[in-house]
Parts: sequence; structure tokens; C-alpha cells
Amino acid sequence: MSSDRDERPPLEGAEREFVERLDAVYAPAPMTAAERVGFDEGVRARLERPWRRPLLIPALGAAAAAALVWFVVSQTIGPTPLPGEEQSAGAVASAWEDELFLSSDLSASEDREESETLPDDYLAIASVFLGG
Amino acid sequence: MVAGAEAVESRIAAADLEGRFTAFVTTHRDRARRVAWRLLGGDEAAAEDVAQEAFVKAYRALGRFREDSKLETWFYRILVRQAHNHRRWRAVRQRWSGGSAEDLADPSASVSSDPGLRRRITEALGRLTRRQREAFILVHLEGFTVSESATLLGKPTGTVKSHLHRALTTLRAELADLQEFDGGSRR
Repeated sequence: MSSDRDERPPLEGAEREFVERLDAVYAPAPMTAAERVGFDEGVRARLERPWRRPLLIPALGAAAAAALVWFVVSQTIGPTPLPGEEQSAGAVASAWEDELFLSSDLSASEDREESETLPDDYLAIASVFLGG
Repeated sequence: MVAGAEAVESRIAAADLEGRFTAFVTTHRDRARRVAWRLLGGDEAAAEDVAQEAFVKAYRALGRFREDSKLETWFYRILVRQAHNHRRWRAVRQRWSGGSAEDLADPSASVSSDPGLRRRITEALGRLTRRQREAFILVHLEGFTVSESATLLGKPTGTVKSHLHRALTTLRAELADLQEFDGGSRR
């Protein structure tokens, strides 16, 4: 990696002076020979520590995959009904599905609810605009 | 016989790797520590920690890079990321311990003899956005080119230029009196 300063944005005059001043002031003291040795020893010490590949990500990935499989299987098969529960659960599901998918007069149902709740003046306006 | 030759080659390769790594550390030690020091707001201990950890990662990646220039780019990218992670965790620790994000490290081991000035610069840099700060330090203080910095930061060159412009404008506004603090001495 070269440090070709020509590719840097050109700074002139006060800007250049400002950056040079900042560069001079905002820097650590140069490393002494002893500090360099200490630094290298620190790197060596870290390298000699037993290195274990990060196991957390694969472990979490496996846990997430297992949870996904469990969810899909449980949705596909469904919970095992207890004896005596099968009929009532099926009946509830059937009523719910009938209401949602098979009801032929859903809009009428909504209209009925509306007429029961709306005051008379709103109903008059609705009858003008909606022809009701 | 073949196994013996392989063992010899393996030892040569290991020695070559060690040699490359030693040379790499020797070449980049001072700069890596200085970059980390600046990115971490003058925190001496954290800078050493981050730089050493980046070298350890570089050692483990050494085999993947035939050319040292590519390793160098990768190394400084790791260093910048490590410094960012360190800074983030420090902010979290400060929040939990009741301190504020402004409680920046005191850049004690600086070339400047004026701790007040160093603190002002640290705070001004700390108020920049992360990307503005990183771009400013890499390009204007560390001498990386815009394209090199763009690679290190994983951003387009145009974005880096924009960050540089905003960073410089903000810093000049906040530190307009910088020269007064340094007694007018020039580098």
C-alpha cells in the first residue's frame, strides 16, 4: 500500500497549515527501542495462546436451523390432540374457515354492523353518497 | 523419502512465513500503533492492544496473501475495524458505568506538551461521525490516498471525499484557534 500523497485532496494555504499542525500535535510519542521489543513480545505472547476458531457463530447457526426445522415440522404436523379434543378443535377451525373464506355475504354483514352503530345523520349522508 | 521432502518443504514454508511476518511487524509496527492511537482518541493502552490483535490476525491470514501489498491493505482494514469495535465497546461500558461518551481517553503519551490542546483535538475528532473521523485520520494524518482509504473503509471514493470535506470544515471551525495553543511553532 503506497502512500501516494498526490491522490489526496489538494490542500492549500490555511487548510494545509491546519492539517499539518494537527498531524504534528495529535500523534503519540515515537516508540522507544524498549517499547518496540515489548510490543513484539506482546504479539508473540498472543500468538502462543491456544487459538480456537470462534465456535459461537456455527453454534448459533445450528441452533437457528434446529429451531426453524422444529417450527416447520410443528406447523406441518400440528400438535397431537389429546383424546376428546380432536372434534372440538376441528369444529373451531371449521367455523373460523367458514367465516373467513366461505361467507358469501361478508359485505352485508359489515353494512349491518355499520347501520347499527352509525347515528342517523351519518346514515343520511351515507345514503346520499353511497346510494344506500 | 517423499514424506521427508515434504517435511523439509513444510519447515521451509514455516520459516518463510515467520520471516515474512517478522518483517511485516517491523515495517508496520509504528504506523499501526499510531493509526490505532489516533482512531482511539489517544488511548495508549487500547492502541497497543488493537494493533497487536490486528498483527495476530495478519499472522493467521499470512498464508492467504502472496503479495505483502495485499496483506497490508487487509491488515489496515482489520486494524480500522478493530479500533471501531473497541471504541464502540468503550462507549457501551461508559454508558453502563454512568460515564458519558465524552469521557474520552486522556492522550497522555503524545508528542504535544499541551494536554489541553490534545484534549480539545480528541473531543473535536470525537464529535465527528465515525466515517468522517476515520477518513480524516487515514487521509490527512496518516497519508493514505483517497482510494486506499476507500478500500480500508469499504466505501466509494466519492463518499470518502465528501467525509473529508465535511470533517475538515467542522474541525477548522471547532479548532480555529489551534495555532494559538502551540505557541506558533511550525513542524
